[in-house]
Amino acid sequence: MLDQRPQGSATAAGLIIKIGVLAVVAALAVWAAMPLIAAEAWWGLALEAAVVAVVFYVYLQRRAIQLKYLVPGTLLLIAFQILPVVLTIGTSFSNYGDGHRVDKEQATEAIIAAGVQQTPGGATYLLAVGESAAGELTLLLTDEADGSTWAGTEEGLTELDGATVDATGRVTAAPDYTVWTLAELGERQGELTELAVPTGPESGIKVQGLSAFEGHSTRSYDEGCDCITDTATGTVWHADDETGSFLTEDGQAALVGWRVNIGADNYLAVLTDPDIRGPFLGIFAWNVMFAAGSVLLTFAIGLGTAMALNKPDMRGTKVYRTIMILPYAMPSFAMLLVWAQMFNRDFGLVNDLFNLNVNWYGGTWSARAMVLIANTWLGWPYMFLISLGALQALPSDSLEAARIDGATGVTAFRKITLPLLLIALTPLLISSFAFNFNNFNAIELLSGGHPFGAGDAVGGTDLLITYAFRQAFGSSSADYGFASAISVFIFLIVATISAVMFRFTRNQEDVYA
Amino acid sequence: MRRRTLGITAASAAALGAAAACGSDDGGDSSSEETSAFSGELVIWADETRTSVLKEFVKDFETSVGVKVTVEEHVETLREDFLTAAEQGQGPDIVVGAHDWSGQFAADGVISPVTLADDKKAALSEASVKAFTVDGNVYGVPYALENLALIRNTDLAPTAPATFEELVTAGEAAGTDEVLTMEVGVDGNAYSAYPLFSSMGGYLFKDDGTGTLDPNDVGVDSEGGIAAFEKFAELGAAGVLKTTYDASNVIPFFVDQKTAFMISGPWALTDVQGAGLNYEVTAIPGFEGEGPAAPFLGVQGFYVSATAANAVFAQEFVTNYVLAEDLQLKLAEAGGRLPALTAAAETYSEGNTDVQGFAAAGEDAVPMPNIPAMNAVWEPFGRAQADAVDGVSTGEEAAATAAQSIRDAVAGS
Repeated sequence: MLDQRPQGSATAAGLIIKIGVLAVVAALAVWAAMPLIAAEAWWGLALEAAVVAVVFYVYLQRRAIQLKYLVPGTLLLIAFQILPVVLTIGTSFSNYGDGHRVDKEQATEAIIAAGVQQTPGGATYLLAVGESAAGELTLLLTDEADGSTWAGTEEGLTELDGATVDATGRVTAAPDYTVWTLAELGERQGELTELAVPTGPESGIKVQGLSAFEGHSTRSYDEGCDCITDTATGTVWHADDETGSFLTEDGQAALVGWRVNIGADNYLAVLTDPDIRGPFLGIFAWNVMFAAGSVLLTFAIGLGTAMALNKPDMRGTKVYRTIMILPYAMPSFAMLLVWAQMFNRDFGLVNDLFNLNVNWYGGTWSARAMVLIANTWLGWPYMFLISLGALQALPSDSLEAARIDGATGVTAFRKITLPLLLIALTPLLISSFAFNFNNFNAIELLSGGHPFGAGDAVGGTDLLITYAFRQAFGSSSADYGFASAISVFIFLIVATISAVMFRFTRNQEDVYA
Repeated sequence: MRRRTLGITAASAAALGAAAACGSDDGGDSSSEETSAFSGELVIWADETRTSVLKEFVKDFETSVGVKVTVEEHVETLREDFLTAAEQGQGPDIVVGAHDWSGQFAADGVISPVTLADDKKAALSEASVKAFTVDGNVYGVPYALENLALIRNTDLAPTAPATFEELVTAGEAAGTDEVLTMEVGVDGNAYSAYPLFSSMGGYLFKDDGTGTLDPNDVGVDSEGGIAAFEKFAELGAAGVLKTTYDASNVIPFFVDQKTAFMISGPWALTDVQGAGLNYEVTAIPGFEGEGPAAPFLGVQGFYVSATAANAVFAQEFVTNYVLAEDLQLKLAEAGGRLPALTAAAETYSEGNTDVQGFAAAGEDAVPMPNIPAMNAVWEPFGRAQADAVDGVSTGEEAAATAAQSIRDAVAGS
């Protein structure tokens, strides 16, 4: 074929695959659209439609070949990388966390609902629901004390005569009323929400399940003053939209608050509060140490073993390679837990084997040594693999030329092998650094951040990411806003370090390439 | 973005409508007259240990009320899952969990209060109702109680110790590797430390006598609190308590007869029975001349979600169905915990020495505080205990540091 231009889906198989994939996309789109329509989320629906339109357009036309390769990756990048970052940044400006999870309206509802109390000595009823001939929704109640029957409407309670009741006393039929079946009740329980049956100025019938009781509601919301008043205690809570709480005059917050935007407070807290700033710098220093140490140790050992196995006169290399891959092949999750047990002071393998009595988790530096040892063990097979691959790809003529020029051993390694290797490996080392900078599993599963000094919120081996995690999900109250702010800091730090390093690599490539 | 209620709650009677909130509608804009769609089933979320029991348990409700009940299992992360779902207006109608979640859930506005009639309240163990009370309202319906007790290998230590000192002597005399196992861990463990702490007269938050705790009165460094931390240091130095006892070895050591005594809960019995050991469950002894060692009472119960789609049936389930004696018995038999319903508890513990042992140990038990301030206690208290046990700090220092961190955290939140 002289014409080298791609011919679209030239083969039948390609065409079938394309149709199949697009059909799946269409099916997924319909499936995802249903809940969006049900929730009346029109923006979401429009976005979804736009994405599907883009996908169909890109793959159903013949030009713009590059787009066909870029679109899937770009969409996934937006969905799984950019969107979480945007959401995290959004959260970092809010007070989202325990006590501030819901919106203002739900918070108001919850506070008012907590003001409903059973009237002392008030009657309790068995509940049935029916409609009068005029279609008015009515509670058909049986007093549990004396079995008398009542009809409750918006006007109040009236005695209900001639009702038929079942064995438990519940009304099953009444003249002039259509009694709902349970299924109907389930179907239409939303209507019940709207019905309030008063029995006095502040009291009414409160339905709870298939029962009801006479209760009074002491709290009410007034839109005018944007406040909640509790008539029983005389407490008035005024809404404070700055902090997302209902506050009394003397600053006592009502039980439930809501989520508001608090501006840069979370960032300011990180930057200005000495209780946070101090540890933050300390964690940062150790974080860099941990990431750099992990990369250097794993790379040194990985490269060393790779060089040894790359020697032509080495025998049994296959066996060695297989064994060396093992730490990498086993799930790190399980391995980390095993390592954590091995470092147990009293019953752990490490102390037993070397006849030590080191409280690995107790001292800052012993704990740091411990996580570095375990992390190196887990990480070096990866470095071994990539080093071995890079070594085998080295141009043998350069090495030979070096040998002819008299460079041997260390000199050849330092001047020729290592620089050539680094061209290929530096990007991988940088990504390994970035990975270890946020190596949550290694710390959380090994040391859990230990040791913690008395009263400290920060442990000796805490990374920024484990610290942020504990802020958000730790046993103390969750504070997602603050944790998000820390995450944004981590993002900025890692992004800066990576950018600087990649710039450095590019310069290096210019030198050696 | 305001929904229905801000408009209508001006009249307080509106709060007396059938359900305070309804529906999983967080659509926002267009909802003044919508009716929440009846999904036709009641959804319950429970953790892995209770799901299978509940599946049996709900069958009668399905037949008598005619609504389908789905029990969904949420392994490990039930509490977080529920919070995340409920704050979005989604999630189950009912969630089954421990009572100490109630403070957080209520403050987050994700559960509805339930009103229990006086006769129903009276039928339940008083402490269990108190455990679910937040700000004067009951937020959950209890069904099972659990607490720590002393489990003793009767072959290694024939008699039950009357004081903690006797326990240590007997444990040493048993000739085993360890004197006693109870969870401490590198982080400490406030839950298992509490019986010893309370025996020395320590308290966490001041109880005003009605069960309402004052988060501003922290008693970790009270006279009794300091004495307790000094005891931790003493027992740590003596090798009775070790920070290397944690969840991974407390029960195995007992099962392997490396210790004659173990402080643990009902969950440990399966393994102990499986190993065919002769054992007895008794109260945790207090220190000589000091108060009884009162463990924390943990209560399991049913919460109704504030955004339940089937609020009516959910309320019916928790307020009427759960409180039936035979059903509480069924749950107890499957779970091995004492029922919260007093009548069922009596029937259940008859002839069951394990349950009687746990009940005896729980006689002075105090409900684990459910106030959100309790979240500020676990870490500092535990770490201070670990420091005292390890001898890193003296008992007094440990108590003072812990108390200070707790006060800071309470003040900061």
